[in-house]
Amino acid sequence: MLSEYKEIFLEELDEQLQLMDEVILQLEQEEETERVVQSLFRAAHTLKGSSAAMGYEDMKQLTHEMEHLLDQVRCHTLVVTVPLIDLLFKSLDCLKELKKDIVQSDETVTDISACVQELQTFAALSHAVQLNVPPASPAPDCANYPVLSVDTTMRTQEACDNGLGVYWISLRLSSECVIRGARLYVIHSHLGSYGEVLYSEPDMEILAEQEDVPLAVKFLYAGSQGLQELQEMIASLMDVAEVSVEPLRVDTDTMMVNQGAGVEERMVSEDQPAVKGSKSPTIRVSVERLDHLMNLVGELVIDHTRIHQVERTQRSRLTDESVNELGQISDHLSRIIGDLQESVMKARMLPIEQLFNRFPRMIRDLTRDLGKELELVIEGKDTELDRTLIEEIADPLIHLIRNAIDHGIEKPEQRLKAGKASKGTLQIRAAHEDNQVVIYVEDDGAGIDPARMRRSALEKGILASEEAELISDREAIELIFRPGFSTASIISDVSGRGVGMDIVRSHIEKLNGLIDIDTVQGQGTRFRIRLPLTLAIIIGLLVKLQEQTFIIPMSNIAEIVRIPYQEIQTVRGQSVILLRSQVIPIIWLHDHFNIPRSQQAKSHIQLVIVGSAEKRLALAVDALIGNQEIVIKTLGSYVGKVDGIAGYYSRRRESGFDPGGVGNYQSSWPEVVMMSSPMAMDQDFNQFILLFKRKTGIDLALYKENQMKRRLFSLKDRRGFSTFIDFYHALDKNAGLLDELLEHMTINVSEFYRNAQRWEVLEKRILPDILLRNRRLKCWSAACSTGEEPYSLVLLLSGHLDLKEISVLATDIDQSVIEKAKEGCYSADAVKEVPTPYLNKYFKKAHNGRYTIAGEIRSCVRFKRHNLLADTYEKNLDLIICRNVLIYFTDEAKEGLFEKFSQSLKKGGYLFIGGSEQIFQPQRYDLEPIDTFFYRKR
Amino acid sequence: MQATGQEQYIEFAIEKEQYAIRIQDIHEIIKIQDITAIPNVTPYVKGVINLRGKIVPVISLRKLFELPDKDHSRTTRIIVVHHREDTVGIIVDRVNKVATFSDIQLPPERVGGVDGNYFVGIGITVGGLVGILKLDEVLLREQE
Repeated sequence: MLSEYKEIFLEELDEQLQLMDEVILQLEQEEETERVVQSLFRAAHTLKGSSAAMGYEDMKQLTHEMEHLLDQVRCHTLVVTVPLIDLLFKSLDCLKELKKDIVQSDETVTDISACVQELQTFAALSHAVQLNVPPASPAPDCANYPVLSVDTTMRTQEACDNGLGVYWISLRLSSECVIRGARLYVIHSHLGSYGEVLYSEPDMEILAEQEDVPLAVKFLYAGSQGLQELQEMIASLMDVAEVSVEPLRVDTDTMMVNQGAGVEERMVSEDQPAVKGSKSPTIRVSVERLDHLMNLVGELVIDHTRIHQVERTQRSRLTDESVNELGQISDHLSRIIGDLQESVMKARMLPIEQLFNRFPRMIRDLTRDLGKELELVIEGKDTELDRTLIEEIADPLIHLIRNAIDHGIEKPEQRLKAGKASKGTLQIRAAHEDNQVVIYVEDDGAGIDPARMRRSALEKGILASEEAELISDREAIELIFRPGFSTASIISDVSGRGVGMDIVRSHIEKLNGLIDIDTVQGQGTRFRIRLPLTLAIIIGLLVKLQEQTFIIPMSNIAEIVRIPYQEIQTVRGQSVILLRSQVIPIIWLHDHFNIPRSQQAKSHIQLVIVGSAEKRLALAVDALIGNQEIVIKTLGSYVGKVDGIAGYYSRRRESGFDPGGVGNYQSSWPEVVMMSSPMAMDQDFNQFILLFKRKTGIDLALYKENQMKRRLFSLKDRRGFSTFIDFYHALDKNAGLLDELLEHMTINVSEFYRNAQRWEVLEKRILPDILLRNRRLKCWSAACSTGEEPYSLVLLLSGHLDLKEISVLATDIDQSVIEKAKEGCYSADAVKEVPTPYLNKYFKKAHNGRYTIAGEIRSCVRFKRHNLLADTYEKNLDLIICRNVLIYFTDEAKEGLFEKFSQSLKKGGYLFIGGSEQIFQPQRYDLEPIDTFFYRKR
Repeated sequence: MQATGQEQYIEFAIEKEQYAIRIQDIHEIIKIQDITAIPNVTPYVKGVINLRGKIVPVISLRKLFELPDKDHSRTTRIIVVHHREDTVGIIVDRVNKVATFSDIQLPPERVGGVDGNYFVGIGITVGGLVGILKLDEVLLREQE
């Protein structure tokens, strides 16, 4: 199937499902049932058509059944009831599952039979009821206008497409008329000569044979005349007593036309704007294209800056008229570029409606599950913000809403007791305020009890008891944002799914946003989220560290201070300042970025205070340059994520400079490194360490910081987590990932006889078998790291063979670790598993407590740089040890490696691999499992 | 010996050594421009440049080939290559010409002072030997 069509189909599917969601909800609230049922029917119908075209049988069948049922509702043979709505929602969920299947692969795994069955039963049942009880009120439209056949509908549509007017003509002949049949026939053909009669009632052909001809007739007529003209024309005909002409109402009449499945797609799509309200025509454009456009505009700006500069240099040299003209052109260009940029930015903006529309359904389900009553008020649907932001903010918002319903809004009986209306209110509001988007989530529920927060924090060990007493109520409430804090006494399905408010906050901070909370006990809680309008452009403060320029996002900056050096104090080795009686640690950004700190020539130090209330940092910089609107670009995958750098490249959005003596950095500016939100970065990471320690008892803070951070960052990124908190929650659930992390953290602190039991198996079981056949062993330690593994092997072999007979090949991709391995110098920790006799015999302890391995052992190992993926392997090996390396490779690469390992092994040779690297179907590679982690070549 | 066909290469120089990259891997060749350093990355990543709005990391082969750093000159160029999903710039001292090699030998374990693994092969021309870079290896990031 062509993926191009699939994409279009999926987009349509999304749209229709979203529409159905909204519409079913409206149906439940009994809003304009007529219109609503129509649009629901149409959505089901559209999906039926397109899924059939794409060959998704299940979806076709399901939508067909839905359509069938809705048809009954439409014709008022079925009344909208709660079970019906539930069934419709259920079918909708089923459709969503099907969609997921389609997105993942073309195979459907979702079983729709139950749902289809239910729909059919429902339709059949209602039909049975229908037989006994005639419909209470026949549809008014059905009575007024006759039902048209598919054929007529198509002709009607054609006429509309050709720009003709389509009218219902109802006329009544005067009672004096003698030959009614003939008269009508004349009128009919008369009309036929001006335009086209699409339909008549009664049918003209039957009429000719009928005795009793009615006085009143209806024609569906298509012609180029206007309404007035037509009316006059017919009225002037003989024997016509009354005539009324009405234009055909497309949105109701044509829909009434189709009882069966013959609706023309065209008609359906044409109807939609009428239902949704007027919208200007739109087209879909991929974000990629917009980004590209944005890039190009960015380039224009830079080029324009150059022109501006040329103009200035020319002006100082020449006094020509042409220079003035150049200046004018340049100014004009700058305005155009500004507008262009604005427009491109706007093109990326979407109304938040897209997101908000998802909520009613979710809230309905939630309140039902929890037995609560709730009125949802949504305001500011039209507020526009960047589409990436809309996507990013969805999860945090959903979480806030869940929280509000689960913890905030009380049960109806409790509410009544507290003297409130039994129905709670949840307000979700979006608005623009000062170049920011503000979203409120406000409930009129129980509010947050600071005393309970304190207790809870104490129990969870988040606060010490003295601390708990000291903090203000406000601070107590802010505890909600601490990691590991969830006051829900019972973990419910709704909130408390392992994501807490801390995640919400870190998510929002990642978007350069802020969240705060206002709560009155007994009256309700309000969360306020403030977001920048777009992620693409932010305002940043340019700072200098030596010769390099960095930018700190303005939204993170609390204030900027300049203090004398002597005010810096030290607390436990950490430099701090005292600012309005708050102790704030000082971080030299230079250290963070490995830039030498500048000489202390000046008497004052420039500090940028970042972060919010309870956690602040003072970043020391050399100089401030100024504010600028900047565009952030990512560094790309080659460089990967650099700690503390969000991206690179900035520029001014408009030409012309701040007068505030920015100086001539103009010429050097476009290349500026962007500093990511410093708090978010540190906070996220620190929380991870905290949570991780609580879970595993391992304190990552004890590791060498840079190395550990780099490893963790790389693992987190490789596994596709955007924040450490996300990463932690995944670790929490997935033991495999946890193992991987542990492995990952300990690669270069590998030790002798790592996993000693395995080495025992090697010695007791594997080695004897190999030695039985051969005493000249060829062994290879692949990815040997700093040499612990090959040396362990030599030690092991020395118990069975003379050292002179032993030769082990050890390879690694990293030359630097090979150099270390050759040195053979290890910490006491690394050698703790070495049997004491060997330790005494072959290791020398230096005065610094490190152990150096003896030269005779070292000479048994042949080190070589080798790339497992690309290089050729040696042949005829008896034993290959390759542990804890394979986990870094893709499955595909792994398969290749196993294949190559197998080929390198002698018949009966062994492969020894690491803990998390089991081989699936080893027989594929001619290998057979012998013991855990050991495989033998067949 | 490998089959060569008449594949085209861009031949360039770093110090006195000649190297080549397959022409189909090359996106474009640009004059040296201001490079913005990025802190906390491997030393051979010199920084990034702004290539018409796209951020392109630039690496120096000098670090990789254990040569001392040198100031950029008039002939210094950045060869922008496509490698898998990435676009990467490689700083070279001089770009010589488009070349074809009728004879390409497998690289020895070490080429001059440089690890043989960095090369696909050695092209033999009248002008001397040309090391054909194995981009996979050269661009391999510091793997842990």
